[in-house]
Amino acid sequence: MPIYEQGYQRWNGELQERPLRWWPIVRQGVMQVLPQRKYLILLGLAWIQKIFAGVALYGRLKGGDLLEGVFGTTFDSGAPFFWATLNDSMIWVVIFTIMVGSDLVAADRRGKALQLYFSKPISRNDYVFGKLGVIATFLALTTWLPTLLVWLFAVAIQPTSAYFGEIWYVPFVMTVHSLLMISTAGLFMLAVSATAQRSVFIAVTWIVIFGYGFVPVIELVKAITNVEVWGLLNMAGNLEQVGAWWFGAEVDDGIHPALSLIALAGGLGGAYWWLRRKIEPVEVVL
Amino acid sequence: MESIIETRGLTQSYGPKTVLHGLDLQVPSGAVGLLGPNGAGKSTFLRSILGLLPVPEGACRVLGHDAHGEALAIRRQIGLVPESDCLIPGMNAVEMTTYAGELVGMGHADAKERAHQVLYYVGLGEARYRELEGYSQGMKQRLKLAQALVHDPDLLLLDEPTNGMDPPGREQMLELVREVSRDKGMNVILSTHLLPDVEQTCDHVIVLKEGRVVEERSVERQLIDAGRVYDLRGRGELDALADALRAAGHEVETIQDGLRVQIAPDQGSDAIFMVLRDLGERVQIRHFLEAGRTLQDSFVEAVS
Repeated sequence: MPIYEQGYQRWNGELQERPLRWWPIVRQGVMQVLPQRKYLILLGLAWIQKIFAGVALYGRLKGGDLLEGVFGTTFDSGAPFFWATLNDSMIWVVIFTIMVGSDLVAADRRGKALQLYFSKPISRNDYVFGKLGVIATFLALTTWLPTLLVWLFAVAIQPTSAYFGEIWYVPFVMTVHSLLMISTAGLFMLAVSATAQRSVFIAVTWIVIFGYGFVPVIELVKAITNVEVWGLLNMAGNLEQVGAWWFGAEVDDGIHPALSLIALAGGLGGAYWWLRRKIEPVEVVL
Repeated sequence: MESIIETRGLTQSYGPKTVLHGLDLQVPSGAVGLLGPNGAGKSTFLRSILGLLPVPEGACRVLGHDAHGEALAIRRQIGLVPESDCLIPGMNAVEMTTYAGELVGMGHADAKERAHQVLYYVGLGEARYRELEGYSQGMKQRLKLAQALVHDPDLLLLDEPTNGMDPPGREQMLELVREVSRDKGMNVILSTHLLPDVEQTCDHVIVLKEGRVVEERSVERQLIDAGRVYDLRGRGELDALADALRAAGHEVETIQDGLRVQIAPDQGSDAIFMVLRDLGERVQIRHFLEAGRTLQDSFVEAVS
């Protein structure tokens, strides 16, 4: 245990010029959450799901005929399999976005900590990227990374040029789609977290705005008006539509995926605009 | 004296309400008190310095940087102790102070080591691993000071640092501020509505009222002047009185209908009466008042 002089001592070190000023926010946010047992258990469950996907793929690639003989059916081991594997992760996107993200900005607003951040060399963008980075870390750990490992596993157990030719582009598409998915889920959550203060209310609002809570309403409006574009209000649905398109899987005929992509871009822009509006370095009470 | 902050015509408004009216200021280095009642524009001035508010009119340079275009560079050199509580939930004092250091640009190991140092310095050494939610008001104020000092800033901004503190805690806080400014040479701006806080810690004071500067002066000068300058008015041979006072070692200045006398060092106001007694009936004094505006006068004017 070092013994410190009681009087004030000057510090002779040098401050680092960080190109990524938001990195300490990501680091602190992740380190605050990660050691908690409940998050470790959930991370483990997310990975178990992917282990099952890997086992299924192994069965398909190494004993496809046997599998069909036993179960009477089989599945495509090409890019659509990886899309299905990635898309199955949406449950973890929902769980981790709500658990990690709902308090990220709200807690700072409750503790009036924004003034602490903005008295440091941190811009609003740095703050937003930092907080988004915390959510992104957990979502990447539960969606992108394990799915990528399943792909590597597939390449390792079936190193034929024909199979590789079918799935070589999957990591790129997976990365782009994961970025879109993480940004959409994360930014919408931060926007809600910057608006409300109670975690439960934030979680419910996010579920509604992200699309899941809208589905019955949207379906009803679509049925009444007979206009499919109402479906564009469902961000989760848009993500699914775009993902299926990129991976070459079956897409919903009602709305063209390009329109879904535009709707997602609009949603992202709106969420970011709202977030910047709500995160004020100075709270003025007139 | 070198200026650390220079403003020219600095105007700040919140919507239709103008809070700072064309401030022209040169804030000297050292410990400076920013004194004024609530709503005088003190906090807005501090926010302008930090570049948290755009500068719609006028100019503001802080530590050689433009407050509008180089806000991040300024904030690297500044430590702020905000007026209201600013705690990050779920952390202890070491974690929060370390985090504050990292946000400024310190490496994690440096920030952590330094956090322990400053927490000991502000008197939170024993409580540094306790949850912040259990801290008293005084401890929260000390923690805010610690997070502001962690990177050893060139300029420390304190916004009402003794708010809500009991008298011993307030004394200790002011002692800490005095030490960093006087003994360690850190520039300090202390924004407060408490005159004694400024008198105890600052070398220079700026009094604000409704977004305008009503007084700028040296605190030391005020203390020297207090009880040492008098205005005399009366009838008779005032020139002879002036000569006699000068001969006795006092400084004399002619003012309208009378004299302003600054008493020689180590003497009291009775020195003037000694001279008057020697002049006898040649001079008849009808007005004898302590002259010069004290800091108290300026402040009373500002708050009234």
